[in-house]
Parts: sequence; C-alpha cells; structure tokens
Amino acid sequence: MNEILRTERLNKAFHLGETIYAVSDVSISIPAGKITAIVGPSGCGKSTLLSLLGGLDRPMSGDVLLEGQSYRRLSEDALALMRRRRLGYVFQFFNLIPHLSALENVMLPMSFVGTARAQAREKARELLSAVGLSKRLNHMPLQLSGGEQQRVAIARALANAPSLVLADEPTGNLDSKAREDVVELLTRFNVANSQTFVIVTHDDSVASVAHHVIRMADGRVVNQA
Amino acid sequence: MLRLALANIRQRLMRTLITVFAMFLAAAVATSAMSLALGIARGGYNEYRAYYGGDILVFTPTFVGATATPTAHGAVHSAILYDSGFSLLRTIFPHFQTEGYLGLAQFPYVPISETQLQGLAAQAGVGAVRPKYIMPGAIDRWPVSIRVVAESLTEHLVEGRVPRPTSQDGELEVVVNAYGSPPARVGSSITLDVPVFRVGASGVPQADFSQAPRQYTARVVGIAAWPTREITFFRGPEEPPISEQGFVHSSEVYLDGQVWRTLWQEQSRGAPYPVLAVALSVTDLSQLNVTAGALRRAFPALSVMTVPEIARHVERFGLLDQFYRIPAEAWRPADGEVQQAHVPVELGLTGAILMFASAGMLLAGQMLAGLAERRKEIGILKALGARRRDIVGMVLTEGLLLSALGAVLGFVVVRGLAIHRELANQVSWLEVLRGTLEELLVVFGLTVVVALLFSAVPAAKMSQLPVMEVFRSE
Repeated sequence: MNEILRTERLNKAFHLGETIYAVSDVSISIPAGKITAIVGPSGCGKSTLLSLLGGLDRPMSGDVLLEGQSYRRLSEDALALMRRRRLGYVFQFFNLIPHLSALENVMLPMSFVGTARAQAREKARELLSAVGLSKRLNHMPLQLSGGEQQRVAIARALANAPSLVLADEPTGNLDSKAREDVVELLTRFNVANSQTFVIVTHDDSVASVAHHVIRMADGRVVNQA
Repeated sequence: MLRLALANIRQRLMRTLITVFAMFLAAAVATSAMSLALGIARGGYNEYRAYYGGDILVFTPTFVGATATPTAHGAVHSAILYDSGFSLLRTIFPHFQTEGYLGLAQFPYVPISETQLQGLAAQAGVGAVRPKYIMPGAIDRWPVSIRVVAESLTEHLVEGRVPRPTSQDGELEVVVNAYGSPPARVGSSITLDVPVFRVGASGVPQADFSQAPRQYTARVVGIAAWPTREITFFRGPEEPPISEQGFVHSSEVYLDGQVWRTLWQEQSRGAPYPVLAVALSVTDLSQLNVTAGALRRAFPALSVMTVPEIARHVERFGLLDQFYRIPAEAWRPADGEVQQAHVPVELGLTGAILMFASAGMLLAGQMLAGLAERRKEIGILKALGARRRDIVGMVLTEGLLLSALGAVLGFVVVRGLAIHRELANQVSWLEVLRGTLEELLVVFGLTVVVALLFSAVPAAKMSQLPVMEVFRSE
C-alpha cells in the first residue's frame, strides 16, 4: 500500500478538571489516492485526530508524517505553509468567510500561494462549475443553501490541488439530498484527481464509499478495514 | 489579504465610518494648522518678505524731504518712493535689498540709535534684526558700490566662493560682478578706491569725493552674476524678436560685512554707521500683528510696519514696479485688517497630534472590540494556511486603509480651500506645490505612524489566536 500519511503513537489529552485522552496511542496509515473514513461515536476523538492530522493542533506525544515529512519539528509558520500547499480542509459548518463571495472564498487559498489573480479567478470558476455552482459565483455565503455552502467549501479545499483533503463531518449539517450531492462530489474528485480524502463522519453513506475505514472508540483505534 | 482587508472595511461599516471620521478630523486639523497659520507666509507674503528681507520694517520717521509726512505710512511711502524712484537698480533687482545696496542718499534721516537697535533685538517675538545700510557710492567711479555680502550672493556665484571676514594673509577678499568693469578673474588682485565717508549733519552717510580715496588691494575670490528679467530685442518688422537673459551690468564688489564695517571705521574716522531702517524677522508668523503692536508701543519714536501692511500700501499707491506687485485684495480680508491666524502653529499641531492619538485609540478600540466576532474568521484563515504575519499584515492593512481614507478626505478638503486662497493671493504654483507636498508629508506621516502604532496591538492579538480553540468554541 502506498501511504500518504502516517501517525506514530499519537496522544492528545485535555485537562478539564481531570485529564481526558481524546486521542490515545493512535498509529494509523492513510493510503494515497483513496478515501479513508474515520468513524465512531460522538466524543470518541475523531475530530481531534483530524485536527492533529492537519497540523491545526499539536499532539502531547507521537508524530504525524505527511509524505514522509514529520510535523514534530515544524514551526507554526511551517505548518501553515504546509497546510496551504498540501492540505485541503472541509468543515462541518462550512466556515466560509461571510463577507466574501463564493468566488472570492475559493480564490482565498490561492492568494496564499501567490497565484496570479486572473489565474486564481479562472481556477475558482472552474472549481465552482465542477461543484455545480457556476450560476452562484458572486453570491455571498448567506445567500446560499447549506448544501451549496458546503460545495463552495469543497471547491475551496481543492483550490490549491492538495494531495490530501481532510473533511470533518462534511455532511453532518445537510439534508439528505445535499448529503448525496456532497458524497458524489467527494468520490468524483477522488477518482478524477486521485486525491486522498480523509473524512470524519457519522454518516453511513459516506463510510460506504470509503476504501478504508478506521473505527475509533474512547480515543483509540479499535478497528481498521 | 488586501482584498480581505477591504472586504472587512466594507463589512464593518459603522466602525469604518467612525474611524474614518476621526481620522478626517485629525487630518483636517493638522492640515489647517499648517495651511492657515502659515498660509499667508507661504503665499504672497513670502514674496514680499524676500523683497524686504524681513517680516516687519522699522523706519525712522524723522527726515527732511519734499515728500516727508509725520505719519508712519507717510514715512514708509516716502522711503519706498525714495528707494524705488531714485535707486532704479533696487527697483529692478530686488536682491540688492538685503544688507547693502547702492544708495545715492538724498533725504536726510535721523538714524536709529544703537540703543534702539538693541531694544528691537530684545523684543519678544523678534528673531533676526537686519539693519538696512545705505552705502555711499558714485555711479561714475570704480567700484560703483561696495556691498556687504548678501544671503543671495551664494546663489549667484558663477565661480569661486564668498569672501571671508579675514583671509589668512590679511588681504581683503572680494567677489566681483561678472558684468562689471574692469573685468576680473578669480585669484587676481584688484585695487579698491574707497572714498572718505562722512555722516551729514542730518545723519545721512555720504561719500566725500573731494578728498583722495584710499586704495585697498583686494583678492578676487569669486565672480557673481545677477540675472535680471529676460530682455527682448526687436530687430525690425520682418525679423522675429530675440529674447535672452539679462544681467546686471554694474561695477560692484562684494565683501564681508565685518570687513565693510572696518573700512567704514577707517574711512569715516570712527563715525558710527547710521542705520536708517531695520528689517525684523519674527519667530512666529502667526503672531506677526501682535509682535508689531508690541513694537509700536515700545518704540513710539519709530515707524513700525508689517510687510503685509507695506504691501497693501505699495499696491494702493502703485509704488513698485508692476512685476513685484501682488493684488491688494490678497491682503484685505473682510474686516479690512491683515488676515493672520492668531493660533500659534505649535498649538495647532499639538491639537492635531492629540486628535490623531484619539483617532488612533478609537481605531484600536474598534478593532479590539471586533476581536470576538472575528475569531472564527481568523481561525478559518489559519486553517487555510495563513501565517501569523499574514494575519498581522491584514489587520495593519485594514488600519492603514481606514486611517488613510479619513486622512485623504480631511487633507483634500482643507488643503483644497487653502490652495484656493493661495492661488487667489497670486502665489506661484511652485510655492503651492511645495507647501502641499510639505503638508502631505506631515499629515500622512502622522497617519501612517498612528495607524501602525494603534493597529499593532489588535494585530498581535488576532495573530495569536490558536486555531483549534477558535473552532472548539464554535
């Protein structure tokens, strides 16, 4: 198996009166070009694990290696640079910038890597067309439905053509139709671009399209298939 | 990030308006403090000031002559008429009116005493005191005139340097006019025929050519040329006229004031030099009228006139060559008095700086208050790959844009009014441009400093938000 991401005995705890391990001794391997679903009950540490995989948070111990590069010695700025070039993020609550249009939201990550404005605009148009929003380019997030917002968020995550896309409950806040659309989009991009998707989900329909499923409970990986 | 900063400015309209208005006020106060307090000085006033060599002229009103009147205005009227009418050189070449010029003194004056000179210098608000010498001379002798080195000599040097008070070998050092006669070159020696000076019974310095002049050897250290107006030659009905730069053709030498006073002492047998008029510079132009009033009260025996007053007088009676005239309306505000700002520049600028500081604090307050509502936005940006410095850059850009917007509006409105007034005062475009650039630098310098200073804390705070805490708090 050709892996893109690997963790080595990751641990992350929170101190809320007592010490609670959200992620405990997790060692996993994410295959390149596949969809991996991380499933498990609420509070089992899925989202915390995802944030560690994305370098948004630091583990107490252990390490994450993206394409062989360890996060451990990377500074905050180096992690940010890595995120902008090699990772895409899709959030449950879409997290679009409310005062930027759909097009501008998609262009935003490209501005971080210095893509020329005209080129970024063209790429953003293409991506929004690919997610079925060619007629919503200049709409503000509040003028879009939840499904449409999530599609904008997916387009934004793919803007810099990252090798790995991390999605945290991407269908968790959507109705069934929108959920189907999002799942269809994720699988389509996975096949078309051979991009790796790691999806944290409760949703069986999402898990059913995954090539690889990691099941968690109480901060630990209980099953990988 | 610039686009995001602009979007934020649009999004938070109330904050934008409040900050822009505060910066508008601060820039308007700063600009008006400089434009209004210095506007006249920078306008027509400067041109007259250069002509007269000061801000206030003090004359001795007591003199005997056909045009003499006992009033201050009369004295000035006569003095100007005398200077401009009888000394044609001075009318055409105003640079002679600095410290020394050729004066074929005809009207006997009572000189200003040394005590009065010292008193004028000690008066509050008075800066430099420049006695205006009338040098005895004769137009048919070499040198026609011995002048004291004027400030403008340096500008007109075509070769060499200005003379020193004393040379190392004790020889006199002089600058000669390039268009004088006989011709001289730098490094050569010339002989100066310095006449015997005497002070007439009524106090007028005179050259006594009935006695043999004393010969001084002087080394030429520089050559100067004094440009005049362009001269046009008409060559006949078929030929187009030719215009070329004119120069003063006069056999003059220039030497240091200290040396000249020594010559005066030697050739007048120790008589004190009679000072007949004094040009005073004031330390604060906005207090010009106040200073002049105080001088009038302190020296009732002297005529004290501000240069704007003289300018009006000159215009009214058409005393000077049209070339140097500035319309009287320029000096005449509605109440008939010379318009001067009565708020010192320093006070105005202090107020402006305080207003800038207040606007900056308002900006910082607005940004810090918006910190809570922007946590999510910052978190998203960081998740997408924004570094701390990107966030800092974005917040500083916002602060700068907001401040600059207000400052531009304030500057344009107030400076626009000032430019309108300056142009109405016949101020040259070059002067207007110079003043505008000068004020632009001060106002925008202050704006940038305030914007960066007061945006720095909100920027630092926003950049330090830990991304996951932002999302967890959702």
